[in-house]
Amino acid sequence: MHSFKARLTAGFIFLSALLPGCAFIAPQTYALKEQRPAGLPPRVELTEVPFYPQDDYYCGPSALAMALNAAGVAVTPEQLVEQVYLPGRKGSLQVEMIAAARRNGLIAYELAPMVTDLLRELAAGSPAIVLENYGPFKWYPIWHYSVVVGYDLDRLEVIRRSGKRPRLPTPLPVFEKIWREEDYWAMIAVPPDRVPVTATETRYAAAVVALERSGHLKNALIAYTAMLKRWPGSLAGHMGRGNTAYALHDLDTAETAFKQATLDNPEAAAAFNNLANVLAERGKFGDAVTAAEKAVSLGGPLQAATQATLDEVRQKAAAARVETAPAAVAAPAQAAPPAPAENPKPRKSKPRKKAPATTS
Amino acid sequence: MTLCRRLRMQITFITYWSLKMKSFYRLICQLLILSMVWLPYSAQAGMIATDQVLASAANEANRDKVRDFVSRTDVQKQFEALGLTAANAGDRVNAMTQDEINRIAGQIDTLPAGAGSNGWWWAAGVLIIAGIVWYFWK
Repeated sequence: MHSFKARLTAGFIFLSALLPGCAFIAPQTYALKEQRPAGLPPRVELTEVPFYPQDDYYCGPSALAMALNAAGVAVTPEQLVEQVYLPGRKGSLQVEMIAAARRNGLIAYELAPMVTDLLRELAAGSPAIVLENYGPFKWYPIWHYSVVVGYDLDRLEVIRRSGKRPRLPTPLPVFEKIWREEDYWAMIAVPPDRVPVTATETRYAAAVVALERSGHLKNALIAYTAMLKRWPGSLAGHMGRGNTAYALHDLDTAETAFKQATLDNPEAAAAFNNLANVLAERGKFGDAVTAAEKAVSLGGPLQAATQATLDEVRQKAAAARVETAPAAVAAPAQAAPPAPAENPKPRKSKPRKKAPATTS
Repeated sequence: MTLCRRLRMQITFITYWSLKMKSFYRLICQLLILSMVWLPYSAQAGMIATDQVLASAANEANRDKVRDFVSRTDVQKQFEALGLTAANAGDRVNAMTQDEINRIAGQIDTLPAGAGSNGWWWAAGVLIIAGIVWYFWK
């Protein structure tokens, strides 16, 4: 009885010592409790996110499978094992989780390290993969991925799918404690037509560029178009849209995109350069030379490339003149009439990279 | 006498050899400098890629190609050492951007790798800490 009382007292003291420490252990939760951010529904639960129980060490593949399926990509954890699991580490690296989401044709976006951003993404319908440290000590970490699918501000808890448990409500301070160990790392995987609500232009552009480079051109084109809806006039958006359309041999869209890019960003040499290339390929040599000259006159770090483009476009224009009007060769080369658009050269498509079939 | 002579010969040989190596290193250095000066000017005509217009465009231009190459092979080798087949390791490295590769190169052994969650460890940790606190408050 005596020992029970002592234990009770000890427990009470332990807990009361913890409470004021709340601001240190879970500062963001503390701030959230003090002032609730505007525009957040009090509770959200994405019940439609499927659950895949994890086998030993396979929390990476199973967490990823939940997020990908929620975003509309049908894939099982077993299929993802060979994309993210590292046998020697008995786990999965964060970078590979991101790369694997991209490999499956989705935009992988790393959230800013903030509880409110996580909640806002949940309210917008995106479940988030978070990296937690379950280890009892700092020097003995036990890293674990789980999927946050909801929250309840009144009860101050988040709802997670973790390990073998499909629905695990976790008190927010506890969650923040284990989440902050790796700088509040969280990622979401979204379909290309949806821009995350907390996304910033630069970071979203970087995510889409990575998708473009991984070869999912069709999805990247959709994402760039969505990006322009969110940030009209974005240079990266226009350039990406033009470049992906060009790679997909859609010269019409490419020309429109680059032209719009030059209108919205009259200082962008790269936009003029690419516009010149597309115009030349479509046989509009007069406009192409003008655009290329403009690109060179803007200077900048890309000058060498723009100069090379100008030379090439001029050569093409000259060659076209010889082809179309052999009699006019004698005429001075300087008096370059705009190349006849009614006689375009057969389109020379340069397949830089084959577009693999996109998933989704 | 002979010993002295032999020593002298040896010293001459070492000097000669080291001079030879020096000139070899010098040649390599000159080649490297030349290539670094030369490379930026060898531009190609054609489309400029999207990532070149991003905010990090300046970094992209000054990108250290040698380091990029080294970290790429390093990551692939580490992946193979950690139990992936060569083909799988190659696929996975190719799925990453160069920035991501540079981020993990050389520290794959220490970076967090999310794995298991048998809550036992966590519970045990909390119990241990609670036990220590209780012991001192008793």
